[in-house]
Amino acid sequence: MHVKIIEGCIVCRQCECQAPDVFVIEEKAHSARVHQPHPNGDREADVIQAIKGCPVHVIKLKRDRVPATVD
Amino acid sequence: MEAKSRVALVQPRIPDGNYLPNLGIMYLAGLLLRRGYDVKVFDENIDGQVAPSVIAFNPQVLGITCVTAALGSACRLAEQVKTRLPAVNVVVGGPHISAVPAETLDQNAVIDFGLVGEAELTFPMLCDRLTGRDDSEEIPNVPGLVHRVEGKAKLNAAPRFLSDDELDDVPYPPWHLLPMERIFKQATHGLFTRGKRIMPVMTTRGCPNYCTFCSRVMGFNFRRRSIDNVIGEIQWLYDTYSIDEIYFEDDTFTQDPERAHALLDAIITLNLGIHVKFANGLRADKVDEALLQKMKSAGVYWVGFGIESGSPHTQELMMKRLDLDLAAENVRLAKSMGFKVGSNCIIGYPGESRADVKESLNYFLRLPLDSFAVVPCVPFPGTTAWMECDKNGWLTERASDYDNFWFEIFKVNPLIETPQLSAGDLMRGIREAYIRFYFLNPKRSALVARMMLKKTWNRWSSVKWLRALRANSSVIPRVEGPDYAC
Repeated sequence: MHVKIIEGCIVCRQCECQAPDVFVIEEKAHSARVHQPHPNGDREADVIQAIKGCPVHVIKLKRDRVPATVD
Repeated sequence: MEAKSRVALVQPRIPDGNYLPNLGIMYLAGLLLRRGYDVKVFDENIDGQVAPSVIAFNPQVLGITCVTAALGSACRLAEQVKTRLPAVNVVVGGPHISAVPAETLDQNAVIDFGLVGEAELTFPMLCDRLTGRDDSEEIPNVPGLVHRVEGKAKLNAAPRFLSDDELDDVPYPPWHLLPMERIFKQATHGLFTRGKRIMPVMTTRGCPNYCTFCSRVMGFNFRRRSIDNVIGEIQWLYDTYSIDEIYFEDDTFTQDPERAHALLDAIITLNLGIHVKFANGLRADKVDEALLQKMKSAGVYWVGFGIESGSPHTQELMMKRLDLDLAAENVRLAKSMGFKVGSNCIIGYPGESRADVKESLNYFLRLPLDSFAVVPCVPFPGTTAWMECDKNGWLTERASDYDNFWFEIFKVNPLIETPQLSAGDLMRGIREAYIRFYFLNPKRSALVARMMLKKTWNRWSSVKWLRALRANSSVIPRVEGPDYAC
């Protein structure tokens, strides 16, 4: 799982509230920043909650590809 | 016997002239008492200079809560105490440091540590480590702690917010630590009050709305104390302090209408005959006739709606997104049901034009309100509004001093000046709104006159109390602790 924030954050702090270990507010940059770009899988639910709650849709999530297994 | 660790908690002076006892430090005091600490609570708004009393108490930890406008008072107090007690650990919490933690620590050398967000979990943890009660963990590992590493502020990941069950586990505020009789006299609760012994209660925390002028210290997740826990607190306040009015300090009491109905039902069943008031504006699109009827039966006499702007464009800028027609309908409904109805309006929001201001004020002036406050936008640090102003260079010189970050109702000195709206435009707008709303309406003029008289009387009676205090410090009755139910 890879999390990033693109331009356009309005610092509403919603993501920080949902997943404080993943997102942090960068005071001087006037933006939220990803503190932990590769959070553990068990944080996925909170990250998705933050993505759903983001009013300007700037949080992007890319899931890791699961390699195909050969029997 | 080993001496107890001492923690002093202080609410510094807030310059806006409105005083309310601070629930945040009282919850922390309750938790520390439960853990066996020797805790004292001081309030500069009640006691005036508290530094000598804090120094006499000689605490190991000095915890100060502060909103933006109180940062100056907080630092002045910390300096006075540190001069005499250099070993004291100064910990600052509250809305300001939660919004701009690194800046606050970098610019104020007197603050040793800051805690962001809700501190019920983290402040006792930090106190344990600072006082040596827990030496198994390092001090800098506390979640939400802002501390210095090689002279620069470093912020730990924010702590999680308390769950519903954890909220129920927080002890009721230990009010016996404050001079309650003086608080009853000096606390302010808006234009309309019915009770004389009014106490604040918070039943929910957090707000899921996105209003861009708010720094939402308590997060987006709406959390609820159980109805039994809230009712227990109201009964306890009634039995212990003979309160006659409850002042609900929830961010948005009606956010969950089902829960609001259940709590009001429980208050009606309790049947204590006390009044009920809400500190914050209710969302005008989250009430209906059934809920208002229940409020009436529960003892609510005043309903304040947080409409903020009557201009759809400004509503969008603020991301408040209120249905203004429904809001107007509900104001009229509440008025027809016999409530006193109030609302407030923010003007000068970044991006707002003169036409928006005119539209907004005309909207409010058409409503059948009993009270109305027009305030220039205060761009609190950490909010989207502040970010917009900072980015675009719209902050006035007054905004460089945090002492000015409070709502001035009659004395207007804007903190924002935008290309669309000058400070002069704001002042003219506010003056005109007040003249049209209050002074061209005899009923409302009489109301303002009554309020002024009441304020003067309250001030005079508090001077009497201060004189009595100086003459004989035992004059002030304090309710002692045995009845305190942790």
